[in-house]
Amino acid sequence: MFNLLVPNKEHDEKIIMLLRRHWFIIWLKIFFFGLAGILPVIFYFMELPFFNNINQNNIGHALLILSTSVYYLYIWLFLFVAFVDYYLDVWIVTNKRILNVEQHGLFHRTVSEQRLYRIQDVTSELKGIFSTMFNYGTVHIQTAGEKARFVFKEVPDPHNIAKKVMMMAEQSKKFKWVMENEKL
Amino acid sequence: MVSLSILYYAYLVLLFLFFIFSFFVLYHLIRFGGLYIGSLVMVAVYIFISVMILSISFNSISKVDWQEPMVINYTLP
Repeated sequence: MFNLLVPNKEHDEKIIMLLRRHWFIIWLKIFFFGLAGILPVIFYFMELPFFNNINQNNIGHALLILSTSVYYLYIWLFLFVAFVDYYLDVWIVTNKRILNVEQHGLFHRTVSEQRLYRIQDVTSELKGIFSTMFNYGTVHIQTAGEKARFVFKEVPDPHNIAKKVMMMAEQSKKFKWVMENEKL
Repeated sequence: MVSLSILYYAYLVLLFLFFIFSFFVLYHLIRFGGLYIGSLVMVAVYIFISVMILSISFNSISKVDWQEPMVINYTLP
């Protein structure tokens, strides 16, 4: 799993933190998809005259069956796409690097990495009612690299994650300083 | 006279698209999520529920006479 998630694994590199979005995010999407799935059932039990009239007609009856089938198949497909999107968005902190692996839809995936010692600033942010209730938020990591800012989105316990990342960045800088001075 | 089968063929096209997208979703999950128990369980759940929806659908679809010509017989409320 390490090799799959972390490209170009280095000697004695270990995963310290493997982060995904908070569980509330995916459950909220599941809830809304579930609601969309229940709607036809509600309409059926409400016995709306519109549907009764359509069902009497042979075209209407056929269309009703086919459209319901397509509706449920695609709701299920989109729910699964949302889940895969959630599952494949991963933020990894190893003892040497931070990695940002993001899936943007089905055919777009970005992997960014940066050395720990290049981290300059770490900020955590909790915004909104649900974020505060469930303790999830955003961690912004400012680096001295081509990708200047890494963003860990909707991760659980962002304050502690920010503290840990900052601590590891400091340790990495000290270690690098010691190694460079030893060479001199 | 146009038969109901034209609707059925349109449905089959949408079904084909569903299979294509399903293939890509499952491919992404296995390729980037790995062949681990979690990913395999999710693949199994997805296939199981898809098969369930399809079997319920085809159960209803098989009861329709698709060779019947289209007849518009709508009563205004």
